[in-house]
Parts: sequence; structure tokens; C-alpha cells
Amino acid sequence: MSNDEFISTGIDKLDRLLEGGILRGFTTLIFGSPGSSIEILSKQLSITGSVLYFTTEETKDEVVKTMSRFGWNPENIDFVDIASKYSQTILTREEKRVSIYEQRSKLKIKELIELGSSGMAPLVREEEDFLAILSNKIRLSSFEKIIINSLDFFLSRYSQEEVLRTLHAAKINNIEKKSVLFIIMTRGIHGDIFERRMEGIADCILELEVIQKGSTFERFLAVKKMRNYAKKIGIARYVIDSDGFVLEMIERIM
Amino acid sequence: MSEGMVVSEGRITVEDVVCKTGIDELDVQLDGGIPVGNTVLMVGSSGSGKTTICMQFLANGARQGERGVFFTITEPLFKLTKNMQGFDFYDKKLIESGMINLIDLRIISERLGLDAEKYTVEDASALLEVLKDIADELNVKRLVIDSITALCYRLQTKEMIRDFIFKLGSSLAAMNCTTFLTSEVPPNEVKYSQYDIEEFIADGIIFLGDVDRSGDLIRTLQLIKMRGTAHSRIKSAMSISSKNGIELTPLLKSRA
Repeated sequence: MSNDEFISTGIDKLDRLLEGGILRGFTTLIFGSPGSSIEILSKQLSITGSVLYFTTEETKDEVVKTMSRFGWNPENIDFVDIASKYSQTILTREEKRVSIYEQRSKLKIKELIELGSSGMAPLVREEEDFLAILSNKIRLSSFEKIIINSLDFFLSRYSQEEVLRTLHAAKINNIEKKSVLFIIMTRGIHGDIFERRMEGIADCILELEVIQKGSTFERFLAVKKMRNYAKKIGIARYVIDSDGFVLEMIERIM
Repeated sequence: MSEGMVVSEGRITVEDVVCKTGIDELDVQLDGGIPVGNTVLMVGSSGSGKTTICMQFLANGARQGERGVFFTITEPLFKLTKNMQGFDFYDKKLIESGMINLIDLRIISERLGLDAEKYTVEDASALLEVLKDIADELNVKRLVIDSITALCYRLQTKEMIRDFIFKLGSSLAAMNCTTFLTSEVPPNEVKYSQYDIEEFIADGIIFLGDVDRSGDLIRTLQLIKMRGTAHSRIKSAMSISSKNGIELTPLLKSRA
């Protein structure tokens, strides 16, 4: 599967397109767009090797369910189920909101004054610090592959600067541990400057593109950047079948 | 004109129309005091003496029988009282007797379920209602919010800030309650508020700054605006001492 230098992506033809897989220590940025089946790709990437998988949109159960539909075994995967944690926070907050709304009218102003004039303000944390979870898990990781699906979640909650700082740290960690790091994000919603900066961090950039041709859609997977391996840049058309991503018609750009 | 009104008019004294800060020189500059019901922005960087002036304003009021409330957002209660203990104007009895009420607004907010980073329009109006209710319940004539900047941070838009301060100011004015809102600005910047809105809504602005005099920093106080008074606009030197609290002296012009 993977020799010492490379780690297999888990997709044979993609490994072939990349001539062996992803170099250890590399950070790979994957741009997806709606309808590009990026969710399937991210799962397929995790079928080989030992994997640390951050899932922000789908819960662990949903990911496992989809994987089993393709016959992929999730046993080698350690999930960080941010989606579940987040939805729990939302539910708790909404419950609290409703109950407080009900109570508000019953609050006695005298009691409030009494409470407010004594004691300490509670240290409230609105929700868990998901970025800290991400950072810490990666720091402690001894997995071959780390998949962040997706960065969009963190970018909707934290400033771009904060996210970039965490990713820089993750990148350094990834180099030291000789693992591979996949970061998935949606193209076109975080601004050009941020995308450029992410492209600067990444050693390898993959992009899934969907192009409408007449009444059909053509899907392409492009290798847009491969640090120090310019000849690996290329593009392949792909389809999704019962085995997941199937790459066909590989074309080299250089 | 009815007879009743004539009688009540006859009773109007200076104290009914102006609220004396109790800081003598400042009252002189204010041409007597702050018009009752005004909302005044107390602007300064951190350490400029905003909280101390506000406390002295409440203590002076309390000694004249005017009840006051201090809503803190930035500092916990115990720190506030600890910092005040050094001043002669501060007397624990004023708090024990309920003439000055110190209230941690964060505790109130938490109780109202307003522990989110950002307030919705409903949150803001719930908070506003509670502030009014508390002022009403305690029958206060002087009110301080320290700081309005921290509160504005949670109001998401300029419209919400405008609406909040405007409604707060007008309901307190209706209760004849004079209000100080502290506003935090970066040092050495001529800016009166963080969100550029507060200063327009306020009836008055008191600016606390520094001047550099041959390398020494001197605290200054300047009245920028005060609706309803013919106030001075001179910049005074301000000193803070444990014995007299805030004191103003003319800022001697000199060639640096």
C-alpha cells in the first residue's frame, strides 16, 4: 500500500495520479463545491491507515452509516465528533432559552437586586472551544492520517487569524509526526485572500470541480499543487459508483 | 394655570433642576451641576479615573439623600469595594443602608438567560426593562453603568446600540434619574466612544485624558458637551487622592 515515503490516499487511481500517494509530512488542502461528492471523498480517504477524523457537519453515526453503504470499514478510524457536540450545545442552549423565557415574567425584581448585589458572576462559556479541541487532538495524535472535514465549521466560529494559527501548528505537528493532514474546505465562501493563504500553507492542493455540459455534469479532480513535484500536477475525470470515487482519463499538465 | 401647579412651581429649587456631582470645581464648570435626567458619557482610557468619578458622584448624592445604583460589568463587586475603601468619600454605611447599590450586571444577565456573546433584540429589550425596573424599585436618582462599552459589545448593530441608550436615557430621565455611562477608549486618542454612537445619544460628555508635561503625565478632565448648561470647555488638571477623591485645578499653560 504505502512505502516509507508515501502514504496511500486509499484510492488506487488517485495514488497513481499522485505517483505513490501523499508524501509523509504533507498538508493537503482539498477544495470542494456543492455536488462534488466531497463528503464521499473524505470518507474514502480514511479507509486505509490509522486515521483521526474530525467531522463537523455529519455525526459519527452518519459517517459510519455512509461508509458501510460503500462497504468501507470504519474500525481504523478515531472520530472526533464535533457535529454531535455542537448539536448538543445548540439543543441545551435552546432549552435554556425557552425555560428562561418562561421564567422571565416570574422573576421578582427584589430577588434580582438581591442576587446582583452579592456574589460573583458565573464564568460562562457559551460553548466548547472546538478549535482548541482540534488543536489539542492533532498535537497528541499518533495517527498516519488526519482528516479535517471541514474547515468551514471552524471558520464560521473563529476568526481567520485564529484558524490559521491553529493550522500552522497542526502543519508543524504533521511534519514532525510524518503523518499526512487533509483539510477540506469549500471554495468561494471565505474570501480570496484567505484561500490564497491556505494555498500557501498547503503542500498539496486537490480540487473537485463540477462542470455542466449540456444536460450532464462532468466531474474533475485536479491536483493543483504538489510541493517539489511539479510533474505530479494533473487532472482526472471521476464518477461515483458503488465503490466510491472512480478516476478515469488522467491527464498530466506538465 | 391651576393653583396646584403654581404651588409646586414655587417649591422648585436648584437641586430639582441640577444634579450636583459634589466635585466642587466640576460643578462650577457645569454652571451648577448636571441637568437632572441627563445621560452623561464618562470617557477615558483604562486607569483614567472613570470609575472613581462615578463612585464619588454616587457617594455625594447618597449623602444628600439621593439613592444611587452602580451597575458593574467589567469588575466583580468585591474588587470594586476594595478599590473604593481607600477613599475618604467612600463609606461602607452608604452601601449597607442601601443608599448606594452595587449590582453586578453579569449576574442579572445570567439570570435573564443573557449569557450569550451577542444579544438579540429581545435580549436587549429584556435587559432594558430590568434596568428600568431596578431603578424604579430602588427609586434611584443617580445611576452608573460601568462600562457601556462592554454592554455595546454585546449589542450587534449600531441601531441596537442607539436604540438601547436612547430608551435607557429617556426612561431614566422620566424618573428624574441622572446617569453616568463610562466609555472606554484607547489612550491618546481623541475619540469619545468605541462604537461612534454612544456620544451622539448622550446628553453630555466628560473626557478624561492625559497631557505630557516634560515627560510627566498629568491627568486631565474636560467637559465636551452638556445639554442644558452653559458649561466651561476648559481642560483642567485632575488629581485623585484618597483624602479628597477627585480634584480639579487649572491646567497651567506652559511651554513644554
